[in-house]
Amino acid sequence: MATQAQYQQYLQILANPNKIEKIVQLDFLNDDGTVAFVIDNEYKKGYGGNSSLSRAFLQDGSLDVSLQNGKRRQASVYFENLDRQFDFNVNHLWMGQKIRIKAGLVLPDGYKYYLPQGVFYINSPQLGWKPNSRKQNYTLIDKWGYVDGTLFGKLRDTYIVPVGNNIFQAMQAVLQTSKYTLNATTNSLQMIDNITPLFTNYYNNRTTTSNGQVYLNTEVPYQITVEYGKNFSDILLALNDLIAGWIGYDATGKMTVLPSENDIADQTKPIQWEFTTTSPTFLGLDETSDISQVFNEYTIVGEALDSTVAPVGRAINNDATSDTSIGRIGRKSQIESASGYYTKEQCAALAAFKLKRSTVLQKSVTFSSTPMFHLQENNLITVKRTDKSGAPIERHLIQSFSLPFSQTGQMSITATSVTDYPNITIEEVNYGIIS
Amino acid sequence: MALYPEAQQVKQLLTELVNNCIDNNETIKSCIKARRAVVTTAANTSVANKVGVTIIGDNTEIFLPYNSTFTATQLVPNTLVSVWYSYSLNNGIVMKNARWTN
Repeated sequence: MATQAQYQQYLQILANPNKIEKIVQLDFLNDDGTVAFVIDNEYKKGYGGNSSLSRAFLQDGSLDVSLQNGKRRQASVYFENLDRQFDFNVNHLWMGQKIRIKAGLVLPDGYKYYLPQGVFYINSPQLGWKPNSRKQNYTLIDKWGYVDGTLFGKLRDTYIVPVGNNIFQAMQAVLQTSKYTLNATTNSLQMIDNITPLFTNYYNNRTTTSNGQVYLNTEVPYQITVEYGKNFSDILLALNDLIAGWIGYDATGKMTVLPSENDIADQTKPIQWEFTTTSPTFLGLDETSDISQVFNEYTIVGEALDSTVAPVGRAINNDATSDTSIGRIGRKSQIESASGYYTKEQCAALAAFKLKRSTVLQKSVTFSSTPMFHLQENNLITVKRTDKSGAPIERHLIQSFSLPFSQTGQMSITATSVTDYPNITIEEVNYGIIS
Repeated sequence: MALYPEAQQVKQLLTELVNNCIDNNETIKSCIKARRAVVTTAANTSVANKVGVTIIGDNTEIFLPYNSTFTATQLVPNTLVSVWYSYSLNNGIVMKNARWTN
């Protein structure tokens, strides 16, 4: 197991990119998570270390990561497959094959320092066959592709999560569904995902009062019904909407559910790299501002038919210190309906959450840098802007990045600026009476 | 040769994106959808003012309110009905018989 001292060596080598010897390894996994065989980018070594077997090695590829609720990681890998050990057929690599990607560099003592980059399923295998060449290309998607209908099927029956169920237990129940019977199973080899998810404990013991009644934030407040023909991921996303969290698979292949930036201040997140414009790791940046998606008033209309009134919640940015308040740029209003919301407090909470995301001008910055293997989405990087007065250090939240697997090639990181949220005004209204 | 596989990947990504945009479009979400269903639990025997139905092709029974124009004898098990809903099946109601004649 890698040590802290080795991690420090890794960071030191990153700071001097001309010393980087990039290494990438693909672990082909069994259903129980153990490694069946590996392939890496070392052309001198054969398959499994035995040169009498496959001599295939990873020639090229890339990893793309994007922060969103759902599918986050995609990868492409290319290698010569002359001996056909990595053919896509039922006797070699087939549907449902999991692949773990690790990337890193060689430390001065020769230790191969790998960092996990995700666990994937094969999506689109492609073969290019010419005389003396048999190039195999696999497009890989992370494990969310197994629940969103891309690789696995749709819901065969309507799925109901009753009122009062624990949100996280309901999420785990989806992952523990049998791939064969579509019923709950305790057999880990049959589960859609047998890796225990990582759930936040932020909402434990927190409550919400609605219409005079107190609800635990970890409990399902209304019946969730996902009709047949939709995806298993729709159940997970509907449960995640209740806590407005971030849900997706992390670099270790584990499903994680974390509070969104509405609950945990972006300012306190770990800084994973500090760029300066004079350092050899910084190759340039492009900056754009998306003003079309800025709104300073957000209205949520509750659409649950079993409510006794028609609830509406509205969040407004009237903060005089905000650059995007109504008083400064005029009223830019957005309206949405929320299925299942039946109280004005729920609508107001969702409106506040949506407004905080949309009232901040999103400055998107794309960095070009030398490859780094420890960056994670939804964490911070900083850059010292020597092109601005006072050379301020700006903080940016990583939204996406692209990492090449070849020995050459730049890494591209897209991040958004982290800004303090303005003070928001809330309006809650119940319309009408149901007779 | 390399363009076609990349085009296929782009097509897959775009298909997913377009489907998501359609699913999340407000007009699509708010429009009323109708599905045929069969009554599995007669009205008022287990859940007050609701009838148990199963959407055709589905195995899950859901309990929904029903149009007051129905009489008790019209909502007995095995009767074909039409369920109308917008946004979510949670908002569903047994609105008419399967032929929309009542």
